Amino acid sequence: MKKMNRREFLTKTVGTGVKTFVFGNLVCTTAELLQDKKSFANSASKKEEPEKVIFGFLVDTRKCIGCGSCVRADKAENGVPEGFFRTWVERYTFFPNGRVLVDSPKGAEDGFWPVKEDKERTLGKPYHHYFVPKLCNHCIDTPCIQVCPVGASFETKEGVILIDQKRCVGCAYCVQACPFGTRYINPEKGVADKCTWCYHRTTQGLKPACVEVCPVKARIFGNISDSESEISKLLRDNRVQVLKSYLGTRPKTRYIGLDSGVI
Amino acid sequence: MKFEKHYGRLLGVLIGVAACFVYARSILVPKDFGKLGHFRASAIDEIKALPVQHVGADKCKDCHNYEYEQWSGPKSLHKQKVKCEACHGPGGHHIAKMNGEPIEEDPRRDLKVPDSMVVCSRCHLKLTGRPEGQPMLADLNKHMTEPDGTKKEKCVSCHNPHTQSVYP
Ligand code: HEC
Ligand code: HEC
Ligand code: HEC
Ligand code: HEC
Repeated sequence: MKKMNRREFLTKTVGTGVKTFVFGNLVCTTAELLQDKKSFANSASKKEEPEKVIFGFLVDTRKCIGCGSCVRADKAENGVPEGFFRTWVERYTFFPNGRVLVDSPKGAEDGFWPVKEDKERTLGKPYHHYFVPKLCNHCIDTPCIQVCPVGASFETKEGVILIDQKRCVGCAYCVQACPFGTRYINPEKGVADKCTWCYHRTTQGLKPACVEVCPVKARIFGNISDSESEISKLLRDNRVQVLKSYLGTRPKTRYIGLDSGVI
Repeated sequence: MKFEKHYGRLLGVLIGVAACFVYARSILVPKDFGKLGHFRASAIDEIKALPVQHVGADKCKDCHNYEYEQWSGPKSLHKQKVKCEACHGPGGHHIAKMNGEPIEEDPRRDLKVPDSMVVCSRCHLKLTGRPEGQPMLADLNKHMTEPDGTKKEKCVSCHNPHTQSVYP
């Protein structure tokens, strides 16, 4: 064998090391993939496809009376800690000079009080106001899943974005990634938390708690892949919008009756 | 020549490292991770199994038939739109307790309405921004006073919360 110098020795050994590492990894992943494929094929061939369910959520801001029943129901249903919200209601008040006042006292947990007259700021007489309930948008191109380093955020086959709280390490990347501010770190558990569209209820055929208690049907939930469902009809018959469409996250929570002042 | 035996050792070390990696990975990555996607498949079932708190008005019917009949009757104020649990809070805990299941006492899960003023005015106070159709009270003080001048403390002194608008 040819005599080697130090440089050659090092390059060769490091090279072999890297190759072994990559190869080992490859073997692992391929084995896994093969297994996946097998189980997938098995499940596909065994039972025929059940009826397809894609959940959708529609908020009709023209109907909302700002009573906060949804906020209280949500907190009770999901044990949301004091001071945090999975859903909340904002009141938008538009003034003639183009200014917008947004308030949400305690997330509207106790409802609203009349807007105080605000003489110093001379905003004038409000000409337009309404309530906008907010909740997780369950985006199609969601940033929160993309940033999760441990695979704790995921999308189910119904299109619901969920958090695996056993896997979550509480790094809060997703909290910062969400442009709608719907995620928070649960101080009791130390992990991320957010609206699940009451996945434990909706998979049993119940409505989400906030929809259940809404007295004026401002919140509508249903299966959007069924063209005869209430929500599909409403989506067809109305002009619907989403929040912050310019961000391109493609939210699945739609709104009726928003205007450009709402953020 | 000189390096020959070093190769062997190095190979041994590398195989050791790779084995450690595979072993550590098999421990750290949960069994069902990646079954349905880049996540733990059993997390779905764990979330599905969370307890349901809002059970719906039909569940109250069995034990509170009187209130249920009033509330669903033709003279009802809220014509089935305002559910029991919107005023009373979620009933899951209450029902479990009444069925004699061993369950912790939780004062927050009490269904009693302590102050009808608070509950009713959340929905019936006149607010800027409320849509037209909603029955709203601009002046609570005036509304709470009988024509003869006596002032009432509670909404339920004059209204039956479950049925016809005003007590005769
Ligand atoms: C298994 C039977 C049962 C069911 C179902 C049930 N309740 Fe009750 N409820 C009772 C009994 C018994 C009492 C009387 C308890 C007492 O006086 O301590 C009661 C008392 C109440 C009270 C008065 C509380 C108080 O402290 O005075 C309210 C309000 C009430 N129930 C609401 C509801 C609502 C709303 C539902 C439906 C979600 C419901 N209940 C379902 C058995 C039931
Ligand atoms: C609009 C709000 C509202 C709704 C909807 C409502 N309740 Fe009530 N309920 C009240 C209030 C307020 C009281 C307290 C009455 C009082 O203090 O005299 C009450 C009292 C009760 C009581 C206790 C009665 C007593 O004599 O102590 C029961 C039981 C009850 N409700 C059951 C129900 C059930 C069952 C439903 C659904 C079918 C329902 N309520 C829907 C507001 C409501
Ligand atoms: C969760 C919201 C909510 C709460 C709480 C609530 N209401 Fe109502 N109430 C409504 C809605 C919505 C209507 C309109 C129902 C309809 O469209 O038929 C209504 C209708 C009424 C009406 C009939 C008005 C009319 O002109 O027909 C009366 C009276 C009334 N409520 C009294 C009360 C009283 C008293 C309480 C407290 C015990 C109460 N409400 C609590 C939402 C609420
Ligand atoms: C002094 C008795 C009394 C008290 C207390 C009282 N109400 Fe009334 N309320 C009435 C009467 C009487 C009417 C019917 C008025 C009418 O039909 O014009 C009425 C009507 C209403 C209506 C229907 C108004 C409309 O425009 O259709 C609502 C809503 C209402 N009350 C809510 C409440 C709420 C909420 C409270 C507690 C904050 C309350 N009431 C307390 C006597 C009372």
